[in-house]
Amino acid sequence: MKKVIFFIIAILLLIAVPVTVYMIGTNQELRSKAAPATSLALNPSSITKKVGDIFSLEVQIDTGGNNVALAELHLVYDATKLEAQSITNGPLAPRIAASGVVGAGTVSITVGANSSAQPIKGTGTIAIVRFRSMVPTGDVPIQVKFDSTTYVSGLNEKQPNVLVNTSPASVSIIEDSPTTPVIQKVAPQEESPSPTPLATPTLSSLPAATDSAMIATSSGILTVSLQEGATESATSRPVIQGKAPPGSTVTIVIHSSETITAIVTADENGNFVYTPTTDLSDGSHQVIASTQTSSGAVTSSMDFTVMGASTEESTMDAMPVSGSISMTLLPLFIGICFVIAGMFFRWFWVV
Amino acid sequence: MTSFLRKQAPINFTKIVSVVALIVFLPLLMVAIWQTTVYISKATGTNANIAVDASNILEPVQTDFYHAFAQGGEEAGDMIAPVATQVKSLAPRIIRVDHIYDHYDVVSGSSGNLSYNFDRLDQVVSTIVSTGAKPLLSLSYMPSVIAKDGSVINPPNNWDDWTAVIKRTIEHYSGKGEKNLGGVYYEVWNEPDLDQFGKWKMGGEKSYLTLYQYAAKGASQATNVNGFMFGGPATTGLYKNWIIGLANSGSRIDFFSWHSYLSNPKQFFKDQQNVVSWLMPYPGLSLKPKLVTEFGFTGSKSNAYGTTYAAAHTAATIRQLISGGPQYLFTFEIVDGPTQTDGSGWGLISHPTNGQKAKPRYYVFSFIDAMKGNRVQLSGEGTWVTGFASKRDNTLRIFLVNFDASGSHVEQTPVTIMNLDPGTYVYKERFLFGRSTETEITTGDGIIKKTVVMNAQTMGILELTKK
Repeated sequence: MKKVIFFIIAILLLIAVPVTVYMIGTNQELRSKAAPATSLALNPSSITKKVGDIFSLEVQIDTGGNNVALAELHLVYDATKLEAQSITNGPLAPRIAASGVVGAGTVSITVGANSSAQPIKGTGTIAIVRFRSMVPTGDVPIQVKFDSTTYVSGLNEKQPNVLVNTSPASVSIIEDSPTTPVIQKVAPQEESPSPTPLATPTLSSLPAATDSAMIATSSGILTVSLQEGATESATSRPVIQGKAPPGSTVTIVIHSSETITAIVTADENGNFVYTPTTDLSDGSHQVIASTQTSSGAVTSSMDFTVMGASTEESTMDAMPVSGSISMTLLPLFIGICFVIAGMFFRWFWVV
Repeated sequence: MTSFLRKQAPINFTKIVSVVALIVFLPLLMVAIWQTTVYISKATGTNANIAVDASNILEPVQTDFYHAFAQGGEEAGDMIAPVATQVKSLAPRIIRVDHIYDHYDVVSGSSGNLSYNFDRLDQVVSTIVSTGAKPLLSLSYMPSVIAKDGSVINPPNNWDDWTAVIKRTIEHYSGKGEKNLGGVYYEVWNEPDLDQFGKWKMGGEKSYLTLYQYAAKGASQATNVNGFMFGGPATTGLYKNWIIGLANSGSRIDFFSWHSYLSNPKQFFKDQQNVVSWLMPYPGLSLKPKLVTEFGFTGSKSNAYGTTYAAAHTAATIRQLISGGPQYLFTFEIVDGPTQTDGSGWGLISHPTNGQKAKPRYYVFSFIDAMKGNRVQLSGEGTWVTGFASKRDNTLRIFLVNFDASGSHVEQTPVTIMNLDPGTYVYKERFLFGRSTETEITTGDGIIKKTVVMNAQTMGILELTKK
């Protein structure tokens, strides 16, 4: 009998030990899942760049056992030294939940998993930020770091924000060497001290063209310009001239609120001239000249503006032409009259 | 003169004149102040100065989300059928209809003994499917046979009847033995916060949460069905208390929905940022799709819906949502009602009795489809001119739209494209309803500059293809 009892106890112990080990392991796993354990870091953590360089920092996540749904990322940096250019999602975060926003000194985006069934797990890149270095940092590098509002939501966790740690990146910017290519920065238009030109010839072989692109069509076979030169304030019947192969037929189309089509023939020197027979309306127009050559059709175009007094003012000031100042001033004038009348009668009454 | 008046005018007369003057003056002063404010506000803003970095390729551009369309119930019939061919050309992914219970005589009988006849609604759903879209059925409004006082905007006398109606509807369309449709969206009610549709609240006697919970119960009871999506609250705008209230309800939520009638396209962007942020503390729900199930620039009927103003607003809104946007953005609506002969209807297409003509907004969607590809870094958008860039195969495209909500702002937009491979490019400018030009440009330093005339309420695509 004792042997039987001993045998039963032994079997129970043999069963109990693995069951206990399994249960403890399960509980540990549950505790691990329930604890926020996600960290974010910028990679590389330290980088040295020259002025004008474009470079990227990757936002890397280590979920530490958490199942991450979304990561709302907010980065801050010294806007006098760096310029953020773009932010997008990385391979471990297949979805952009809220579009990237690039501001002065801040950049943000919300990225996430495709679904709750496929959460973000493990280690990898969830976002990529692209910067341009602007001025040297001197001896002390600047930091790109996560703002305190950064939030990583974890699925099935006791507390939704599972972010426990963030690591910044240090950026050193050194003087540019003469051989370093400089990426052109386009300044915001409002910073320009002078009004933006109203029109720029978009296709012309004229030497005065300032576009940095080599502007030409078929090696200058066909050109078009205004005889009066001033494309930003053309007359209502501008003389359109150009060069084409001698004797060729040139089709001229003027696009604006109206469309005017004319066909002219280039003379023995290749010159052609056309003057609209009706007044063009004030505003922007585009003239396109085209002709057939042995190698096919070639076209040349140019924008110009017929400038009336009213549109000149409104456009130069970037002022919408909607609304009527007269309709604004009229009630204001009437109102002032009534104020004066009221004051007059009030004074009369009191006196 | 003063002396004369002082002597001649009785005091009562002067009092009356003073009072009259003040009464007349005050409203005029208010009008003047308002007009001045409007005038000044119109004048402020920043012109665009577009810069595109051709070397910075970003995420894929999503174009499916705006191929979503909603049809109002201005007629109790299949309004889409007469324009089905035109709708098919829109390449719709999903089409929403409402009024499904009060326009199609689906439910009859009495409490606990309900009968169903889906024949008329089946025609509508069949038309939707024939266009290549899947249906989104707005579970609205309360069948009169179960509603309190017979009003279709009231709660039912017995909530179990509402549950039964929802269960039967889902089984009919998503049931494997019935219509066998996959991926149907079911949205609980339409604009519940609106007086016209019941003025439901987040609690009290007419609680939307109760309406939703009993509907969700019906959804959970549906058997032998394909996968479907179930959500709400389809409010007239994005309201935090409704979104969070629903999130806290514990009911099944497969998507969150709301309507947006906003003249400022940038508010759509902010709404998207907000709803994602609000739901961050709800990880189980934060990934659920967001649907703007109706949108436009005003909820009122407007002649501008038939103009390029509406087209530009739609394009500018799509631009705002082109990255990180909603699952679907439903343009309201497909076809005008029968009485909008003055052109004020919301439709993309005029009513068949009014020519069945496509309005400018109709053409926006396929135009922007040309932007498929990977987004490319674009900066320098302004107050009026906005845009985005993409690259597909060997072609870089820049989409620009000039939407001026309050006028006719025109600007000459500088466009600089950087970091191109040196060489010769075919440059095209293609404007919706406007000019289309093609030239060749050679660049040695990888930079091309253009100035693009952007008239008000216009949109265009600039293309660069290396030869």
